[in-house]
Amino acid sequence: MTRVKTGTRSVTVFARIADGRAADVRDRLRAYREQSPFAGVAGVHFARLVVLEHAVRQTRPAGMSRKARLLDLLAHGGRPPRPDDLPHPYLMLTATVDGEPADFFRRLQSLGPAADAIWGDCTGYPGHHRQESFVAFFADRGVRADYTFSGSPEGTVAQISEALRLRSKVAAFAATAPDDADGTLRSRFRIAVDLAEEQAPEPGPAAELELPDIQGLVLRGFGDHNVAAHLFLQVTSGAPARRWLRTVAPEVTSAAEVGDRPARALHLGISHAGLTRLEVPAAQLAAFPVEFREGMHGREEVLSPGRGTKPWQEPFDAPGGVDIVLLLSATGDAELEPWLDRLRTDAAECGGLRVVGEQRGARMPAPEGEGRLFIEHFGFADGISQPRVAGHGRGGPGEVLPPGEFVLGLPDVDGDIAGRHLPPGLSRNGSYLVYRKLEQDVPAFREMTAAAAGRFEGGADDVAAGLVGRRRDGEPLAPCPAGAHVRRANPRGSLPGGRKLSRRHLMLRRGIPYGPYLPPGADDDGVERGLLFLAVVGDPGRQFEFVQTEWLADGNAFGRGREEDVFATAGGPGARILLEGSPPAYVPVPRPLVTCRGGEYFLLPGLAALRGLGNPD
Amino acid sequence: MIETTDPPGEESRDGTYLSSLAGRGTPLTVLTPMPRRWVPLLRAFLFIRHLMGAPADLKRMSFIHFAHWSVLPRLPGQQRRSRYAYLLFRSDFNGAWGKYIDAFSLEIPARMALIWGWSFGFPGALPPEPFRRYIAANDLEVDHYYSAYPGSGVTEIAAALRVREAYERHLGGADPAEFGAAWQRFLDEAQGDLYSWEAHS
Repeated sequence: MTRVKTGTRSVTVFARIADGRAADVRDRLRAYREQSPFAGVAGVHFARLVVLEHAVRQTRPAGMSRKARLLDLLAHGGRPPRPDDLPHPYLMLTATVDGEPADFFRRLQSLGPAADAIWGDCTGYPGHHRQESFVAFFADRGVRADYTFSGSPEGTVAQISEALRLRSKVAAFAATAPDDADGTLRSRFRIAVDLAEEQAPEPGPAAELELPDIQGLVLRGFGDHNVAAHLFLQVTSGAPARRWLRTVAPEVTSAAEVGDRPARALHLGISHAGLTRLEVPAAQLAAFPVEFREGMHGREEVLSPGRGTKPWQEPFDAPGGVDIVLLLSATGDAELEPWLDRLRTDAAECGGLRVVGEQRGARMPAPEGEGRLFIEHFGFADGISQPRVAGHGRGGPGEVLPPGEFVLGLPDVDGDIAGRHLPPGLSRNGSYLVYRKLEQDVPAFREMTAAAAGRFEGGADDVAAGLVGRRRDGEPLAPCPAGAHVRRANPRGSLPGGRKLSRRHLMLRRGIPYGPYLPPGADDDGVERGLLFLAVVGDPGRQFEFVQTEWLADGNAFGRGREEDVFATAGGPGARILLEGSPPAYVPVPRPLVTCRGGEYFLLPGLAALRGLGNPD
Repeated sequence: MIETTDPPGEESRDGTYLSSLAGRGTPLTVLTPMPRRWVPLLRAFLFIRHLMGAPADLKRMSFIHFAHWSVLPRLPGQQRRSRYAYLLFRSDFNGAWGKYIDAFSLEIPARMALIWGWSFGFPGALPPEPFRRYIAANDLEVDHYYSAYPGSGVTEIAAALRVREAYERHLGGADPAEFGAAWQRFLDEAQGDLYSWEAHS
């Protein structure tokens, strides 16, 4: 096929449709009206599918100009066309793509079952499973373009899409932030433009999510909710607890509501112990994955090597200590407090529940973030790079993942169905919530960075940035230090296997800090503070535990031996972190910076499942 | 007269299949029969155009993303030869092509005649109206259409690529201390491409 100057190619494939199937093929193509399967195929500028049953009927035009009559005489001897038609119906694919047609046909294989739906009624179509025959099917039926005109400037789909996004962001920034009078232009620019450009999202097949049945937390982080309260409950009697569940279920925020930016939200998680005490049948309970069945208490010895649950606090200090967690969040205390009071009273008085704990959280806005960035206690911007559910949360940075990574019952990153073996009534549209209370020792962190500061031009800030892999405002270091926290939490393409493997281990982080901020320079006030780490996943083992144990609690994958990530595990005292440089620096860790104080795996059931759990029988 | 049992009706060209993609990408797909004896001539003409590269006058008409022509003496897998050869044209336009096809007629009538003049039913490139009706009547109904950047026309893509280039040159490696000055230089150069008409803001 013709090579075009821009590096794009024209691809046209005529596949014969089996007799009598044309209308069915057309119906299936029309069903893709809302969401094109080609959006998931890389390097496609334009594509179209046409069911061609007949040639268009031609007639000799009347009232031609003199020149046109002359041409007609020359071309056709002045004779009208005689009957002709296509020998059989065809499905015509024509597309303008990046690179060689054969490469495009290989990429087309990623359509998977959609390819079978499109070409399944074409004669000789081999199915999408075997690459060689799949590619040959298209290559054998291709026709070349004799002439191609490209009015579009040179660029691949990825380059053009990225440039369009960048232009729109830069232009919006230019329109709203014209001067540098206060010297903050650069950091404002970085927040508005650069952060979003760090990783261009790959278009993935968008998911049809049943938003009204999914808890809102799955799709939104509620960045405008400044305060949170978590109520920990234990089930003392199954029947009244289920009755209570029925009354509270309608108050749980669904993903269909989050677009309206509600001023408050309620989410509800149930642990395996909770499902047991709510008298879910044993056969259903046994179907859950081992991480969820054992509960986080039983797993902590591995998650926090060498420390286990020794530092854990109530109500997490025993296995199965929390059955149900109510996660309330709101824009402010005025919204939160009355609601919390009522929910607490309702739970306590229902006759089947005991309130065993309560945890507050509050966001800390970054000084330079204009309310759009939040910091954690060590002073770093938080929640910057999040994965996204394909087709949702348009335009943000971060890896785009299929919905099953976060919602049970849907296709996941491996092409499997998340939670395939779970009881569907209970798991459908549910997610797992990883809940970890991580105390942060801010004075220890500041001591540590100050002690190593002498070796660095930028002092303690440089040490901190080297350990985290980002500056305080979120700007990533380039190149990112090998053992830095952000790299270890998400190595992207830096490990063998690249992003293809690392994207199997991403989480939607929904955490919020707790405890008061300790301003820089202030003395140790002895007050407990830290992060309530909340992560939404479809597989607690593959997504949370893998990252915690393989990447954070052990340095092997990063060529750092036993070196732990001090922001997520024990680390210290006596530990040293290597900061590569010339000369290299060793940063001693005076005492553990982060200590887990408790946690649990919860199921965030779909709303229908929640109502089902509340049924009396 | 071409023998057809179920000709595509006019009602099928109401454009409803584009409803979800209402944007700046519009497909045009035209398949017209032509006598086989003209295949070599038309191929030769298209090959010469191919050698000449993208014509500047078409480039100036900044509403075509891509246009492809193929001469098909026989469709793939066809057992019995059909009476005529077919000329297949497919193109991706910004917006409604109907408004633009006139420009082809008026700007490059000779080339239009050299390309479609061999096809049956061609009414001549000028005046524009019959030619537009001819193309419209032969525009095949698209059952599925995809554009990777449905909201953006050719000129916006060009602007975005210029912004990208200027952005990297001025701001890519800018010293943080010099950012304000670099931003000014970037603005001075790229401002013409930094329109920001945001309906939602």
